[in-house]
This record gives sequence, structure tokens and C-alpha cells, in this order.
Amino acid sequence: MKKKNMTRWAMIIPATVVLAFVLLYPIGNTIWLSFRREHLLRPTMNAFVGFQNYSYILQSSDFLQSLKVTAYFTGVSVFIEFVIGLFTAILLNQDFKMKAFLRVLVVLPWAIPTVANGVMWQWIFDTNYGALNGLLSQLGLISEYVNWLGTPFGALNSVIIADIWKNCWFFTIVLLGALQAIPKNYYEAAYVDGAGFWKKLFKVTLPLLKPAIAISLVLRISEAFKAFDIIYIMTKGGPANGTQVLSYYVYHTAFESLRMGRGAAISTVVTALILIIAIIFTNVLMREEVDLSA
Amino acid sequence: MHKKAKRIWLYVAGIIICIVILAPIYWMFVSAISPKVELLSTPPHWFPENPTIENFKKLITGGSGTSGEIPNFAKALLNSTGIALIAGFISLVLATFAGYALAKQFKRFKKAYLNLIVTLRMFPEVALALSLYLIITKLGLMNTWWGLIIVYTSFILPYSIWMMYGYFLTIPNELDEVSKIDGASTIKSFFKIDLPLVLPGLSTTFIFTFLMCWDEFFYGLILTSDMRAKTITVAVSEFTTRHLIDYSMMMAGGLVATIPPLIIAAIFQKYIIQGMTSGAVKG
Repeated sequence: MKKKNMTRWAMIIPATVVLAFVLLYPIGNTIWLSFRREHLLRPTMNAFVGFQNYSYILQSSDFLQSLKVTAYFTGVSVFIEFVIGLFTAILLNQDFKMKAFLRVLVVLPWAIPTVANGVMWQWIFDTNYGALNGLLSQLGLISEYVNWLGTPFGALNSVIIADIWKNCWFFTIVLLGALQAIPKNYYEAAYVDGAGFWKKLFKVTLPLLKPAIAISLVLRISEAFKAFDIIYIMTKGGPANGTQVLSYYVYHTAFESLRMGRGAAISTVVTALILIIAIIFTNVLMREEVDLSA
Repeated sequence: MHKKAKRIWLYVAGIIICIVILAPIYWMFVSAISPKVELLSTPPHWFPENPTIENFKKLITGGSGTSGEIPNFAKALLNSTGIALIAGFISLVLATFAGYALAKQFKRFKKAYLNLIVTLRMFPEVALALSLYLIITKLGLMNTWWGLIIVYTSFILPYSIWMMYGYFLTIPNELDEVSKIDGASTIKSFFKIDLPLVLPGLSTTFIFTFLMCWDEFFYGLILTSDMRAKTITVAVSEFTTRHLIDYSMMMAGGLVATIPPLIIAAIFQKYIIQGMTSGAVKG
């Protein structure tokens, strides 16, 4: 009995030590840094400043702007991704010849690195030689070329399109997996009742998919909320800070302006927001239906 | 009649999905093999007239392009592959033992442990990046493979533990009971009974962590400044920081970064779908 106890500890301790070193310690250290003035190039000025960093960022208009941009980016892209994902999952759950091919196809955008996806769309949206302007003007839909990434709002929506193209298939794959687990007779009952597509969707499909929807939404929302790569590649936060999401704001503050303390305070606030969103979502959507450790 | 109409709509929707997915990839490919004259023309050359592999040659040999130094893509590919393989392997070994212990050996504090792991997975990279940057600098591991391997472990290890825990859980407890009655030690029944049964799980987890590392950009950006450890995503990103962007080179670079994961995804499609659904449905 004693020997068994020793073995299980020997199995779990190495991973736990590594987790503590690469996750717990950095998180603790970031929180500690957030109460200090830390400038990378002026170490003599470093000092404990209490809540000064927090009061600074909560009053700064840059932070509020970033928060708004992040909320819009997350809300719009995840919502559209979810809707597209849901309907394509239903489509791929039908019996028709293309379905095997499509099921391979939807994995591909997901596999493309975010950075490669970013450069691809930056080129598509290019004002002078981009494919989008070329196509729209050949179709006669626009008379002169549009500078898609040139205005703050336009750039934000363009980045969202690039994000949707890559990530909506995540919902397709996850929801398709859940759809396949629904017994066929659930639908037969609805069919006998004469339920149409929408009624079946809202009365049968969605309630049964609820756990899968909840978890995939939480995962995607927390991913989108910390998006950095696509912004760095496509817009560098511009124009006029129009696409400066919170992660980019942290990067700018900590690694471009070298204000580590202030950057740490923003990261701590971002982390708190993500955790709050995750907790709300898990509680509202999942309730007792899914046991996390089951 | 109704059935037939439905059938047509299914195919229409299917074809739309094909176009939406394939058109941008096709355009990246065409742009990468088009000579500059064709690329910078109005209206666009949708089909290349004089395809060329000049861009790819330049990427592999490095040197200077029309808009500045071209990063050495051969080295970047090597860095990304090596870092992803080593980090993935270390995580997998640690996670296999930890996942087994959590699934089979611990009762009480396993729920707390797993909740902690799920929570840690949600932490944004930026919250860790500042501290990890300071740690890696202090250890003198800037611009090294090991610096990135350590840092990458922070996001693939929780994921790997979670996945392996799930796979060990699918093994019926009766099997472990039987070997216990036979007098086998924990470690012996782990290697003889449990480990062989989770081999598919090991591959799924490894493929996933490889792709996660390959896709990683933010840590690579702040922890590397020269070609000793610069990853493929950082190399591609450098095209975007130039004053004048050379789009054909940028597309060639993007394509080089895309091809390995695309091939892996196409070959191991079943594993990937399984990993995504089990990771999401359970995690």
C-alpha cells in the first residue's frame, strides 16, 4: 500500500513541478509586477507603487478603447463563427456524396498557422492589387478600389473576416461530433409531429447540443479575447488604434514602451475578465449537465 | 420532388463551402508562384501565365530581396520542427504519467487538480509573457531552442495532461484490478496494461501539441531576435514589418509555413477531429 502511494506521487510530481515553474510562478510574478513601477531600461527607478498602475489604466482612454475593440472583435467574430459552424455541422450531418470530402476540407483552415492566415488576408485585402478589390470590380460591384484596412472600423471588420474564415470550422467539427451522438429516433419523433426545420433545430437539436455548444463557446471566446497574432500581422493595432485589442495593448505597453509594471497590470485585468466570462458561461449554459471531470 | 429539391440545396451549400475554403488558399498559392509583373497588375491574373519557383529558391537560400533581408527559411523550418518535437515529447512523457496517476491513482484531490489545469489553460499568453521573458533572460536562454521549449511547455503541458487523463479514464478499472490481483506493482501494470491501450491517445496528443507549437507566434516574437531560434511564424511575420511589402515573397513564406501542418492535418484528419471534439467536449 505504501509503495503504491509513493509511485503515484512520483508520477504526478514532475509534471506538477514543471507546471508550477512555467505557469504558477509567472502568473504570480505578473501580479506582483503589476504593483510595481518596472521600466526595462531604467531599473533604478523601479519601486513598489501599490495600485498606481491600476488607477492609471482604468482612467486611460487607450485602455477603454482597447476594451471596446476587444469586446467587438470577440462578440462579432465568435457569434458569426458559431452560426456558420452550427449550420455547416447540420449540413455535414446529412447524407450526401460530398460530405466525406467536406469533412476533410473543413479541417484545413484550422490547420493553417494564424500568422500565415494573417498574411494571406492582408494580401487579399490589399488596396491596389488585392484579390478582393479585383474580384468586386470585375463583377461590377464597386467602381473604385476600396482601402479595406485603411479605416479603423474597416480594418477591424477585415480582421474579423480573416478570423472567421480560419476559426468557424472549429464549431463545425465540434458540433458535428455532438450531432452524430444524437439518436436518430429523436428526429423521427419530431418528424411524425410534422415539425419543420426551424422547429426541429430549436426544439430538438439545440437543447441536445447545449453542453457541446457551451464548452466550444467558452473555448473560442477565451481564445478570441486574447487574440494577438492576427492583429500583429494584419494591422499592428492601427489605424488610429482601431484594432488595438487588449493583448496588443499589453504588448505595446510592455515590450515597445518597456513599461513592464503597467503591462502587468493590464494583463492581470485581462486575465480577470477572461476568467469572469468563462465562469459566467459555464454556469449559465452548463449548469449541472456536464461534470468537468467526468 | 421535395426530396430532390433538398438534395440540390445540399450540393449548392457544399459547393459554396468548397469555394469559400479553397479560394483564399488557391490565391495564396497562385501569388507565391506568380512573377511580380503578373502579381502587380489590374485586374488580377487569376491564373498564372508564367509560373515560377524563384520565390521559394530565395526563401531557402536566404540573402537579400527587393525589400530587405530575407530570413533564412530553411533554418526557421528546422527551428520550428525541432522545438515542436522536443517540447511535445517532454510534455507527453510528463503528461502520460500525470494523466495516469490522476485517472487511476488519485480520488480526492484530482477534481481540484483538473479544475486548476482547465483554468490555467484559459490564461492569456500576455499575462505570462512578461514574467517568462524575465525568467528566460535571467537563465540566459534568449535566442535558444531551450528557451522556447520551456515556454511552449506552459501551454502544451496542461493540454496534454487533460487529454491523457481522458484517455486513461476510458480504460475499464477491472483491467487494473486484475493485474493488481496478479500482484503486479502500479508501475508494472501501468506499462503492461494501460500504456499499450492509450497509444492512439498518445499520437493524437502529440500531433496536436506539434501543431500548437508550430502555430505559436507571440513567444517566438519576444524571445528570439536572430536565426538561432527564430521560428517559422516569426520569419513569416517579418515580411509585414517592412516599409515596402514584397507580397509574392510574403505569400511564398506563408505557404511554406502552411504546408507542413496542412499535410499533417490531411493525413491525420481522424486523429485531429477526435482531438478537437474530445478536447472540447470534455474540456
